Amino acid sequence: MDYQGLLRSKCKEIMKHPIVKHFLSNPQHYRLFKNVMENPNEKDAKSLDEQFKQFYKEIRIVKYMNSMIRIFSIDFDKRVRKNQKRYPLTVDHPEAGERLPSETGSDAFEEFLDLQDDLSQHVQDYQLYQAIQKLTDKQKSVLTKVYLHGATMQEIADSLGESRQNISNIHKKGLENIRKQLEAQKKGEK
Amino acid sequence: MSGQFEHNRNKDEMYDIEHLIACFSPMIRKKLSNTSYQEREDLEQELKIKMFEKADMLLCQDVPGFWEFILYMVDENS
Repeated sequence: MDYQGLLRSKCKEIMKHPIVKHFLSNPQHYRLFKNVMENPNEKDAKSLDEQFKQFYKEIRIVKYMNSMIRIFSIDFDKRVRKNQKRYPLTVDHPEAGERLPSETGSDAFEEFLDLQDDLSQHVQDYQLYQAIQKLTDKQKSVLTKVYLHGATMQEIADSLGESRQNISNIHKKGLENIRKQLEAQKKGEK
Repeated sequence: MSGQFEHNRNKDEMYDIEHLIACFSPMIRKKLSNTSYQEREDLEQELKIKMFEKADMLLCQDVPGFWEFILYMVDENS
């Protein structure tokens, strides 16, 4: 066995390798390694070999699974989106033909609400209404588009001529603002 | 006799695969946020199927031993 000689000559180099380092950070492995280095014998060397094999296999499995899960989940989402776009579940958009009678014959209040382009008009909770009233115009318009029209951040950004990140930020700030106001109102009540 | 052994080994393998999937479940759950709410269950299931398919390959792969690894490393460095 000339392994030991080789090991000794390159010891520093080998110990620096991240995988070996990690392997030896386990005290049990380190003890075994030390044993082999100090009084070499076939049995311990074999046992160390086995231990390392298991350790290395685990690392490989973790590495593989990690990238597999990450990549597969992204791929899956892309595939689902593509399918949804290609095979929409409903095709009866208003522009695709006349509206169904049940849709046109809705009650007057709903119809009135449909015409309202202000989010606060759709709110039944008085405190929430007040909170929305206090938002800036921009926040109001973004929140309206998100929750009333169900627009995506990208669509809003395109219509307002701003970046998607900015819209997302405004949306977040708006929600934060509402939350803060509601909390303040709660405290005021107590 | 050998049939018994075979059966035991198979059982072991099944256990290994289940263990593997259980180990990686938290990671899967974390990655579920990559897709919309409606698709999360599907994604979880598909990921588990994929893991099951790949488990054989992963659990039975050949990896280098300690000495082999060091020899390889030394070769690479020089």
